[in-house]
Amino acid sequence: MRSSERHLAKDSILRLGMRLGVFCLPLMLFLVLLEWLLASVPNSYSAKRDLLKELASEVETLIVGSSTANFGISPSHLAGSVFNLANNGETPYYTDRLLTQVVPELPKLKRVIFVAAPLTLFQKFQNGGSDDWLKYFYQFEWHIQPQRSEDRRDLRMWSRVALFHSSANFSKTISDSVQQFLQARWTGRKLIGIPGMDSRGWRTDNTESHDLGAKAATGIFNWYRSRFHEENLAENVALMEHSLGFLRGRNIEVVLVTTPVWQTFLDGMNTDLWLREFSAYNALSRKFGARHLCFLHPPPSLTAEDFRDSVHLNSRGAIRFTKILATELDRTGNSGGIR
Amino acid sequence: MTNDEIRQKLTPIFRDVFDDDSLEISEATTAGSVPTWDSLTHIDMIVAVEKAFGVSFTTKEVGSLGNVGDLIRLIANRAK
Amino acid sequence: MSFLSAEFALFVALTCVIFHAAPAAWRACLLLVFSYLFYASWSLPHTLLLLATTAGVHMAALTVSRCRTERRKFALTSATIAALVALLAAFKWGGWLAGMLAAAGSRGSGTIAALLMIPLGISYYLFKTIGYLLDVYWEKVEAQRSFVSTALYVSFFPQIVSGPIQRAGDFFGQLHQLQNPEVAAASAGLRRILLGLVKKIVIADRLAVLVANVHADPAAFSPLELLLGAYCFALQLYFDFSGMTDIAIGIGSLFGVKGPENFNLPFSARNIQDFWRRWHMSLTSWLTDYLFIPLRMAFRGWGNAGLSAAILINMLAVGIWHGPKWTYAVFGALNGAFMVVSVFTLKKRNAFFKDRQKWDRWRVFFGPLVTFHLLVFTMIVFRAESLQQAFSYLSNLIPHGGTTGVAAWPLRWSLLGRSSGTLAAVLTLAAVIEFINWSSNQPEWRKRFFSLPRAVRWGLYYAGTILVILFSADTLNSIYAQF
Repeated sequence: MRSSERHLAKDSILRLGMRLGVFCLPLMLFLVLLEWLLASVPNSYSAKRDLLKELASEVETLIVGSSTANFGISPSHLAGSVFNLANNGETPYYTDRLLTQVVPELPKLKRVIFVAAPLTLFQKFQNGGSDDWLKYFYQFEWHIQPQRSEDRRDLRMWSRVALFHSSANFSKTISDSVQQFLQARWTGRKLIGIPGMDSRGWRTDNTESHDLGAKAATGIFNWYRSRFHEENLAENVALMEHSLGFLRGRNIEVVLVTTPVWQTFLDGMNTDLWLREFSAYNALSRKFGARHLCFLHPPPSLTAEDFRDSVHLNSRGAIRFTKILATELDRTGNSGGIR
Repeated sequence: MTNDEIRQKLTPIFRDVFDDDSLEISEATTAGSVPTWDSLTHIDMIVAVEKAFGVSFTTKEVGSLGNVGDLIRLIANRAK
Repeated sequence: MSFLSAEFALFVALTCVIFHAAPAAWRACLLLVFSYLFYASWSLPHTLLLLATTAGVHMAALTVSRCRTERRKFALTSATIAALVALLAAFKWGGWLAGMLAAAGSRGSGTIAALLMIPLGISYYLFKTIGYLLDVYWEKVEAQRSFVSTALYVSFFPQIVSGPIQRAGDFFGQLHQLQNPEVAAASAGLRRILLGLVKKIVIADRLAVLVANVHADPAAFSPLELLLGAYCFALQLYFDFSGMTDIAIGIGSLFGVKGPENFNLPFSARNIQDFWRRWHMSLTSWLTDYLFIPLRMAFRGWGNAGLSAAILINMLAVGIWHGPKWTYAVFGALNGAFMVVSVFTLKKRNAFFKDRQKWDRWRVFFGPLVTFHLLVFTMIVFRAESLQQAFSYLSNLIPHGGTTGVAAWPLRWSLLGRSSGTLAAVLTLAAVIEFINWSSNQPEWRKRFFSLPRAVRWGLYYAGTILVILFSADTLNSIYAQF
């Protein structure tokens, strides 16, 4: 083949390549559009962030912790303006980061209630477990960096399209998002909250009782155990000291609360580990002048109807428990008592 | 035998194996032009040709046949 | 990296750019490097195996072509082929053997199993090497002097995952095209890749859920639902595999290599022999040339029994090529049996219809319909997890007349796993895609398509691409990538 023909052919390949490039440009735009769509649709993290922002000027009490708090404490049943900032599966690392970010924006904040689920101090996000999903949302909605450095280079930390694409049912996620977006546009409402969450962050989609049996409790233990590691205790205690120190430095009262669990959980629980955790909490409360209210053994007025599973309260139980908590908070006042 | 005589002797064999009484073959005829000529009937044809001409082919030879002309030449070479 | 991943798309893009920017003389070597890099991304030890096998065959081919005596030629060829077949057998059935040993409690079978993990594309590349060697022995193809050529033929990355199985002569004849790939072929390749992606990701994978549900527990479904599942599997298998083939051929065209076709409107086949000349053509034509014809020639003294034996062995080979499962063997045997019957009765059937011109017109319709159903039947066995499951499926397919089993109507879409709307949409799209497939080979339709304004054509490409992007998350690996 003569060099002139070869040159012509190479030129055409180049032109084909360029046409392909031009073809791909609107596709890039499409991906950007998808990215924007996914960012506009609220999730439980963005919902709490935006709802808190609306109440920022008046919030006096903040509730932080994991799912036991998220489901178990109803802010509107406590005195004053209260907000529930707990997130399912949260660990002390994320609670610490959230507090340092959020507290300076809350001028009227007087008290923070830390809710400790059993074995919280031994827990850290696992890799390859269901936790993996959560760390992306902390990054997207709160800009909290993941604890592992290699996670920072994960493409899914930077792109919602990449994140949802890696799950099943990407097409369904997109179509649901489009539906939600159009509905909001149509009704003129702002897209902030999510169904099942009240205006103060409490998760209400939790009314029926579920399985309180021993077998279900075992399932819960297994989940806790998957995130459990002896070494985490020291690290988490250090993080809590940081959080408590930060709060006490701003003269904010701290209350440590342990929500009630059902008998089947108590039966299967490793009391040895719990006692170590309990003494860690006690040490923290002594050091920082915080109250420690432990309701681990359920108050007699709470029955099986108040629990969703052996470790979580349902909506009815949450309201009743919050009232009990409110009374207790008033009663023990500033005496720094440990119960 | 001349090539044309071979071709004439092949014609009734082809007609029988490929089930077409009006089939006419020339040196250029290939399997593609006869609908019923496929890998299955191909060997039937070879077997019939071997019997009729009293020759025997190798797999290599059979696999290298491109058209009827190749077959005729193969037969002619054998018959020598 | 999987064919269907974003990393692979990036890989193809990068290799294309480097390939076309490089001087023509380097291109074969570059492609070889790319192919080995691709293979290494799956497994490094298996890459060494690929290299060793290629080197062995390359040397054997050169030696055979230089052999002076027929006896030595035959000995070397059969020894090498025996070794290659043994290698293939070891990997495909070794795992099964290790499983049996483990079940029997033998120690050390764990390590055997680990060592015998099936290397990527071994069925495809070993067939290529065996075919090449036989072609050299039969003097159809000249033995390659350049190791790069041989190695590139064996490891060519677009074809290594799931075929098509290109013939040595065809490939080597195209090597000069690497120097100057045709632009028209490259742009057709891009379109073909898109078509393949739509077939696999949008169509085949939507059907997969329904098929999996039905096969997981056949006793829980009504005969009509099982029938629907069987039809869907036939379609799923076709779109999955033809989609992967399209992608493979399309990518090859970007580099100037046109691969062989694998499918030619298989469901329009008039009878079973015709079907197997339209389905997975690169495999069946390989088996025809390198297994069936030699067998048939060997058995030609035994008349009809010889023909039947050759057909049965050939179809059994098609079955067990897929793997060491009884279901695959039975699949092959059934097809063999059907084909023997069809072959022996074809002449009589033709004679019957020749005398009844009126019925002959219906034959055009009923031939493919009957053939399709025979295939659907054998594909049920192919897809089943085990022979028991296959039997359960087939027996539940027969309506029980109200005594036991599930009500025949209506179809319970939630249990099947896809809504009727989704299925209707997928089937409509499938019909459209098949039309596109067929019409892309018809000059009339091609002319009409290319005379459409560019905006319209690009609009269609965008529609396809966006569908692929939206559904690409739910994608499963190709069925044929495991063979």
